[in-house]
Amino acid sequence: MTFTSRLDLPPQTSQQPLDQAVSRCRHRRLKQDAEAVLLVPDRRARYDAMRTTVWQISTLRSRLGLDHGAHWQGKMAVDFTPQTGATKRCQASLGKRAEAARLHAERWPRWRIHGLLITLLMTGIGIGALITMHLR
Amino acid sequence: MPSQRFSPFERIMITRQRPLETAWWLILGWILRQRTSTESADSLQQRLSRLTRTDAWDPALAKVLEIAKAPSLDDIQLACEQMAASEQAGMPWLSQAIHAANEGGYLSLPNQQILYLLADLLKVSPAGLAEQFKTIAETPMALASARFQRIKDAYDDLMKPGH
Repeated sequence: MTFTSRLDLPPQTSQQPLDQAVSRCRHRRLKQDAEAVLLVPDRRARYDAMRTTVWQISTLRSRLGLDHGAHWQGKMAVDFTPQTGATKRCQASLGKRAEAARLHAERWPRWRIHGLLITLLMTGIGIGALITMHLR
Repeated sequence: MPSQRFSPFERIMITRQRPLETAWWLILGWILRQRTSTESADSLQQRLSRLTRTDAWDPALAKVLEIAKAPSLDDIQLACEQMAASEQAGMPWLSQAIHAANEGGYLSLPNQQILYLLADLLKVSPAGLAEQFKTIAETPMALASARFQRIKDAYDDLMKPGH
């Protein structure tokens, strides 16, 4: 179990409320355990890194529809499953954006050629007008 | 369209010919980065190339390994979706992941959870994963995980002030 759940706090409680809960805790053993990990910077960093990875995994499971997988049971699943599951599809999103980028890249040279032709035409007309005015 | 609309990992996925291989590199890199031993970037690159039997000096491999230091959730999800969409058998992939996660019979908690995630993703049963882990690591998965916890506790005790 994580310290947050043992201290009866929401899973993603930030540092300050967690520290306050540890100092208020009346359960001697739990308080000792929490202090031994959370108040020593090196251990706290490792604990936070581990917790972050497990949170990433639980969020991934939720997004991928694997939050009822055969390997996601027991305390870990109870402690870490997000309250609100947000489904998201990254591959489909990347496919759409890549296709849009490809179309944009294809369209751009065509517009460049059109722009160049229009510029040349306007320059020609301008030079022609100047020469005509000069000859008059 | 500005290239900033793609993450560095997405850019590699789009431009490389083999997106499945690239996706797998990120997942294995993510596992290797969870290991407790500190290895140089070169050493991790060699290890990843040996595991996947790819060219160690492929520039994309180094880039993916760099991204794997702190991958975004979207990047890992993209890699997972790519793996889930492949119609190849899951066990050979999972075997490589076990090789990457196992540190001489020790298994960290994050890596244990990553293996569980991959097993669910690749449709490998708990019994299948347990058996494959035991074959590769020569120790049961639960024991490898418990060993890691014992070593971690012993280290924590050693680091206690006044020890």
